[in-house]
Amino acid sequence: MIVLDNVTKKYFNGRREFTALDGVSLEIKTGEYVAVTGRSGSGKTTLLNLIGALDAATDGIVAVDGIRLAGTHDRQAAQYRNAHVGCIFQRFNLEPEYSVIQNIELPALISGKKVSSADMTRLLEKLDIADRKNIKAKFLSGGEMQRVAVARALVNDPPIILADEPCGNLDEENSAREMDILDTIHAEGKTVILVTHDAGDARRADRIITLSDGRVVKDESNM
Amino acid sequence: MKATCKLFAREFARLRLPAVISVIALTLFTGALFAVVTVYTNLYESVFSVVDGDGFNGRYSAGVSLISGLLVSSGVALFLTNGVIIYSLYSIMLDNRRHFIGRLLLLGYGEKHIFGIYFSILTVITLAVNVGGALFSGLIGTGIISACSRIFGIQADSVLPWWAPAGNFIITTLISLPLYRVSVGRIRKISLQEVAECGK
Ligand SMILES: Nc1ncnc2c1ncn2[C@@H]1O[C@H](COP(=O)(O)OP(=O)(O)OP(=O)(O)O)[C@@H](O)[C@H]1O
Ligand SMILES: [Mg+2]
Repeated sequence: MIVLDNVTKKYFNGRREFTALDGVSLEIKTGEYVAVTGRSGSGKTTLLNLIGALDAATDGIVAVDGIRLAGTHDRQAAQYRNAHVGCIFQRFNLEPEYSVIQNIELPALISGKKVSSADMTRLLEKLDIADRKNIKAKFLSGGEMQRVAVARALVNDPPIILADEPCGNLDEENSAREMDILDTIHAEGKTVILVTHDAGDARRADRIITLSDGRVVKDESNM
Repeated sequence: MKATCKLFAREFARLRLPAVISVIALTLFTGALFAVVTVYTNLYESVFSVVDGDGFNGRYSAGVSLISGLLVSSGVALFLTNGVIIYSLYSIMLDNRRHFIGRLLLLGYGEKHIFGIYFSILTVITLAVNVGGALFSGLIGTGIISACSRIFGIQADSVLPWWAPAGNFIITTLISLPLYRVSVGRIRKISLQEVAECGK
């Protein structure tokens, strides 16, 4: 379970202060599929970054499965990012010089786990990138890059998947495919939080949270 | 540990070429510089001793003042070249790798580990450039001196004085330290949020 209690996030640029999240309280149950929508600048990415321990709240509590996320620099936060969440970004964030397999293996390498070749094959096949496995990431198409990023997010089998506009750089066909993959991941029991601008994509989730100016203005079930 | 070794090896492999080129360039430059300094010193000394007419004293004091003067000017030249070389190596490494480092952090690699990898790479580069530059400048400088003394008939020592490579090492190491600190600071400033947002 993900709990946000009265969370505020402020950014400081020199003397100027900007409130990106303003007293957000939320509970997201394990296995839930949540879409987060809202205008540009409403705080969606900020919310996701806090849940993924990529950034720390200025005020309030963020807790995931009983772990309180307070900082981003310590070992606990690193371990959390490695084992507890899988992040998928709009711009993929792959290592361009690494092959598909090397990219996917990276989180496992970090945690010291060995990915059996059977597991790797299964993952590659599930995401339909088996025939690209030895190609450097920089040579892949956008759709392929995003599927590699998904495979990388899944390799350590984290209970939570965070996706920040994962279809933002994909064409229609690849977006549809990406959304199907997220459906499958959710059906396998993972908590999925999807940030999206697309109303159609949002409707595939169990629940839609709408942000505006850093506040939750709508939180509706979509079952 | 295994991850650290593997990543360190991969990262270091990427730097082979620029590192080798830089060490060669630095070597040639410092070798030539010290050779010129030494030949010049010897030339001056022999001219001076001729003019002075009486050997040791005049020769000794002229030699000392020349050597110290040239040490300062060669120090400045070395400061520039070595600084440029080391700094460009650091930037090749850090600018290209900023996002890689950020990505490893995103994927849950501990900060201490990743900083450890890059600090060791920085240290290895610094030592390699400095020690390599010093040693090879000694060898090459000696070669150039003996060639010069044959060609021009200047009476010179056949080897580079010990202070040339030693001075080279000390000076270049001193130059490296502030650059090292700047580079370390740059790694430390990498923000996860920024890396997550800008992808490449
Ligand atoms: N590091 C930062 N420094 C200052 N302001 C920031 C920083 N990061 C984000 N912001 C501001 O916080 C607000 C919320 O940003 P956020 O990235 O969460 O928006 P978003 O809802 O994801 O927008 P988009 O749909 O465009 O991705 C924006 O106004 C943004 O300018
Ligand atoms: Mg965003």
